[in-house]
Amino acid sequence: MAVNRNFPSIKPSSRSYIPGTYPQVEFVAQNGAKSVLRYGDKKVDAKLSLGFTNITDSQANEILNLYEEVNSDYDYIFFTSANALAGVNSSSLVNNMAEKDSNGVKLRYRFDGPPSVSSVRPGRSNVQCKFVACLDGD
Amino acid sequence: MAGFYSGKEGELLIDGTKVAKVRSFSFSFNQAVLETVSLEDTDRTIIHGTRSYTGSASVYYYQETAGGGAGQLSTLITNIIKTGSGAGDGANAESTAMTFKLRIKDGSTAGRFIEFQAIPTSFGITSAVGEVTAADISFEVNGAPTGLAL
Repeated sequence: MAVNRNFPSIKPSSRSYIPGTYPQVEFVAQNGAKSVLRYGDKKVDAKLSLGFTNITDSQANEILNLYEEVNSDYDYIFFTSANALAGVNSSSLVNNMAEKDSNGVKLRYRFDGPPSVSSVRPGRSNVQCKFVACLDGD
Repeated sequence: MAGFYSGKEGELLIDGTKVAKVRSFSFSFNQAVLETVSLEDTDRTIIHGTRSYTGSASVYYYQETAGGGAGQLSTLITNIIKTGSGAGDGANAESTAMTFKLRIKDGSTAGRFIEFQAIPTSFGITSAVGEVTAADISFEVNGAPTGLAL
């Protein structure tokens, strides 16, 4: 069973978040009339991108270890304002970006591809990570 | 020798040999910084990046004897400017890096100095009516200085 793993306590230098979309199909008639078939009532595939600038190599390694741990068991990642969501003052915005509500986690974040690590100088690296929030079927 | 120092005490040595008539030299140190600001921070935080050193000198074209060349200035010129076998010859010898020593004479044997290997990055020589012919050189240091006693 997939378990929740906390993101390391590393604050990003940049962050972008795109809320998910509803799973649906649109049909547009020749007169422009639009019909929508919606397949679910939950948004899916929210995107979160994090950039870490000039972090230590050991911090970069923590992120790589998380990538390994999450993908080996198909676990998922939990973000809080103590790590990736640092600087977001509104708790409701934190909840929205972490894809959780009063009932718990709505969507489960996983890596949307491997993180990229660029070495800047001895002992320092830049890391870019992309995450996608999935609606698990379990 | 206690006191202040001026250009009278300045010396420039190239590859260990003193340049005869130096008008001026300058040297500067630069420290690059890397930003470590993360979200939630209110003030810019930085760490050390790479150090770099650059300098320049202005040297009179001075010959001891007619046809004898201008000593270390001529050495510098032949180190950086390489002749080809003919017009259009684009593949010739690389310029040679040189050791520079900027020294302030203070009465001691060694004086106060900084020494480094550098690659000249620009060179210009001007001859004009009413002016003494002089060359301006700029250089960038390769690696860290090899000697420092300033």
